[in-house]
Amino acid sequence: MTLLALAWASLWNRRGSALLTILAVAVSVLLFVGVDKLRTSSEESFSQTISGTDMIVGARTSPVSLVLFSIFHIGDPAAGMTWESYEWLADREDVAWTVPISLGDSHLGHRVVGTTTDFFEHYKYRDGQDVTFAEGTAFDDLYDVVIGAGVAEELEYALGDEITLSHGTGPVSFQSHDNRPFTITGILNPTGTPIDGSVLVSLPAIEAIHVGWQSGAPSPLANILTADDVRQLDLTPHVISSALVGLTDRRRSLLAMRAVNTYPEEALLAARPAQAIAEIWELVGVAGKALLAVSGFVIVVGLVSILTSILTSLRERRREMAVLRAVGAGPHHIVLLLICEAIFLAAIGSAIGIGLVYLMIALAAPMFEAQFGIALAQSEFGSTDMIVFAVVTASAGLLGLIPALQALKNSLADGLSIKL
Amino acid sequence: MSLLTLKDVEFAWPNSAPFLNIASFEIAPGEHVFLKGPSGSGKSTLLGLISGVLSAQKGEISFDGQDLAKLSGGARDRVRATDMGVVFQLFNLLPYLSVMSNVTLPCKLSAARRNRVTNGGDDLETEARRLLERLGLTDEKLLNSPVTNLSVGQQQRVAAARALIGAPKLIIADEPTSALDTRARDAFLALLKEESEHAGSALLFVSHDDGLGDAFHRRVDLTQINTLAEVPA
Repeated sequence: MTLLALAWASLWNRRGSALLTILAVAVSVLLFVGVDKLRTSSEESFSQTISGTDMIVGARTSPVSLVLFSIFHIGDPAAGMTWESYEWLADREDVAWTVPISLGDSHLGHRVVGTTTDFFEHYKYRDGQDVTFAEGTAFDDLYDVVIGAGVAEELEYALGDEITLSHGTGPVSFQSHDNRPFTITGILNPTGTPIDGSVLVSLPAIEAIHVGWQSGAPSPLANILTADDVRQLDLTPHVISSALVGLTDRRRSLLAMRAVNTYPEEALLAARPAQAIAEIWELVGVAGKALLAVSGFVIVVGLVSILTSILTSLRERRREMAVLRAVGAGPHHIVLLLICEAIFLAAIGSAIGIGLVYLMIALAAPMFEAQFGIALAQSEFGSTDMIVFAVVTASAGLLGLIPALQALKNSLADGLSIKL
Repeated sequence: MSLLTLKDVEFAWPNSAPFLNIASFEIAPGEHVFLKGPSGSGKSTLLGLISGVLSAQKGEISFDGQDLAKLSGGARDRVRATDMGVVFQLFNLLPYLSVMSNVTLPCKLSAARRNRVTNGGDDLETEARRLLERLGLTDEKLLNSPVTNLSVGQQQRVAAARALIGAPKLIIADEPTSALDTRARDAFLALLKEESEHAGSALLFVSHDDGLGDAFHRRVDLTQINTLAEVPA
């Protein structure tokens, strides 16, 4: 008790430099815990990009590639799946619902997703949240389009604006389907998923913009037919990119996947989204791990600053140690005193650091969620924080042994004499 | 029986030739001894040995019936905490404690010493206040102010109060007056002797200033009892 009080009084006496040391520890802990929170939150958000979907089905490729283009809109499907296969899938008894996805076009760098209005009903993210409309409604007419929050913000679109879609997925396309403009009927709320950057139209719309483009380039037909002419055509799609599937009984998903994978008419692949997303995170998450490792080293720097500050104080405190010895303190008192000081510095520093993380989360969470779709609010005070606190404090105590043993050596050599 | 007995004590610093050799030195309980020790005579070493901070390689040092050499380091620390008070030449006080906390510090480190105060019916602060008052520090404001606000003379008196609190059996004063002017020196010396007597403590007063020795029961020259001292030519 006396020792703790002494250590505290001694630190308080040197509060100027102690505060700087505490600050160094606080910042290093802030960085580490902050990076860790960001990493776990972003992994959480990433893995929750899609929920409630039991399988994603497409033409045979790798599960990762299927999920990448279907959900993250990265890369293109090498082949599509036929509409007949899709109908077979949708008609299966163990399939509760299906949502077709048709990709291949873009609008100023944003992916155009052809789908049905079932998409808005069945696509869930982050623990089953629905995709909701900020303004307007789902597409109804052939030339209706729904845009994600990010698209609306970036391109400053409002309801009722007319846009044209282009063939291919490059940011700038030389081939625009600009003789068939679309009208924005709905703008979605931010989700923090790739949907924010998507332009959603009906499946017939995808067919419509490609009338006369079946060869991949505009035929004379493409320019002759007006928007209204196209309405008269049969716009049932022949090929889609993939389908999101919900099963009636999730426990039977292995059977359903096998049925899809062995479908004799076409080479199909069924992938479990969660599994593929976890695989993708293995790749993407490396950056987070690297960042965490770096901030781990910053903590080491913070700990070393404790060591430095105590070691440099020792010279001017030889007298203090001799006085303590004179009034009856033993060598172990001197050792404990300095270890206590190191522990105080580390404990206060890491408590402040962790506190700052939560303060920053409280202040920045809404902005963060809106900007990056990462839900920081989910990160509650957890065992990780306690572990960081405990490890930093214990390491400081351990490092405190270095100045403590130095002081012990000094004090044994000095005896009771005080060297001026 | 004497309070402190040194017999054939020899001490050498590590990797050095023997530095101190004392055939015999004693202090009786309550005795006030003036030890004349010029620099280089082994004064600091002797005080380190007596207080149990250093341990001799040869010989016997017994304090209050216990052979210090046979005690563990921790036990020697407890003996010092309980039964010795030390006043240095300068910088006696912990700069981060108040005057009051500095005075009561030994009682915080030794329960036995604390009990000696509290068994007398006083709490620590009352006793500290009484001692400080006897030593001429009556300003209540001073008691809770940082020690760095004090003059050197005041600091030495606070150190004396700390050495005296809890009536230890031996007060070791190592040149406590050499930083003081003549008037303050005489006053301090008188107070220290008076209070040691009042507490029943033996006093070992070390100084190079021979003129102070008259007021003591006995005068010892370290250069004569330490056979290895470098006697000035």
